[in-house]
Amino acid sequence: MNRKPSIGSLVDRRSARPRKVFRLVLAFLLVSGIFGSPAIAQTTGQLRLVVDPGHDFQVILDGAHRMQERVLDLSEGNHRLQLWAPTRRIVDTTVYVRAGSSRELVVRLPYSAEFLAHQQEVKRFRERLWLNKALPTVATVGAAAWTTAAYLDYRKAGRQLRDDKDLYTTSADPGEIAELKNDRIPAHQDDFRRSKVMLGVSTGVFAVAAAYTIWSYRRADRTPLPLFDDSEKVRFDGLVWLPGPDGRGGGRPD
Amino acid sequence: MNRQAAFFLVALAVLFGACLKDPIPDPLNSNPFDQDYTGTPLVEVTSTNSAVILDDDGLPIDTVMVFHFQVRTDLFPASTSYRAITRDPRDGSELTYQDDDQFARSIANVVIGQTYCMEAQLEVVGTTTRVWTHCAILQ
Repeated sequence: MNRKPSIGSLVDRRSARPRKVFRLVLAFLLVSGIFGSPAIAQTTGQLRLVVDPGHDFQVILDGAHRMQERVLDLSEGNHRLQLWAPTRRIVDTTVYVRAGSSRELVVRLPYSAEFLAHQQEVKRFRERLWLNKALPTVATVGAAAWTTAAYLDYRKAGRQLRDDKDLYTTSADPGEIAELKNDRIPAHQDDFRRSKVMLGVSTGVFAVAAAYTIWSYRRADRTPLPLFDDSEKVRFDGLVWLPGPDGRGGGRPD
Repeated sequence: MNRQAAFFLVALAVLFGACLKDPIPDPLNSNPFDQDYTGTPLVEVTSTNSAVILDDDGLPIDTVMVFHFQVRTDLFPASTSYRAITRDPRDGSELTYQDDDQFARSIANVVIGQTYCMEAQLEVVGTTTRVWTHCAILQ
């Protein structure tokens, strides 16, 4: 049974050559699309930076690119990394990145010598400040205690004299009155005078100590903390050129 | 600073304001039983008079001067028992009166127109007060 070719099959047969070319192109595109992508990705590797401190470190890659990324996609090969964070020292290291792999670089940036010296200076400053406040405060508290004791003594002596006066006024015993006038009252008046002098001296010392304490507190509050000049930052800034706001040199990364 | 200074000054002012002064007055002599007492005498002479002493026949044998005393118990700082003492300064003779607030003492051998004195003091709880001397002209 002869089958009559359809119009469609005639058309297909006539266009068989262009279709073959089309299929080859399609196959190439598919191969390059599906299998080609992994072939390109395998030229880079991923480097994840785990840095102490983790919040504000910066890195210069290959002496050219300054960034704050935590994950870097790098081409295969050696890469120079210079890491820095405020108050820390620059760590300069070279890492080999394998294509298609992902690895972590764990770095602890050590504190810079200047920062450690600054911390010592701040500590000394705070100790000095504390001492400058504490010593006058202790002196004032001591003087206040002395003044209080002197005042109590003074009040007691005064009360004793008042009692003597009351007894003198109400006594109907001439012998007792003579004893009061000749012995007790003069002795109590001596006590009173002594305690009065002591109260005056202690009050004066207290006043001076309190004034000095107030002054020393005010002076301490006005004294500025020692400033930290991060020379490692200056060094780090100098490692790579950064454009300024106008696109020229002299920009400062911050 | 101003507030701190003000607080500081107020504290000092309060401290000094609270200070006591010597309550003992100078001189201290307001108690009548004090030897240095200078106020109203505790033993006062209310009056003096003369009297003629007669013998049994009615003839005058001597003239005496009588001092009438009063003890000012109202000036005592507290109620107390006392003994009044009178002394004739001419011969030192003493007479005492226990808890009498009014009494009299006479002195003999006097001449009209002459001044005579009498010393008086109190003795309380075994100790004597100051001496008050009263003089008067015999009329």
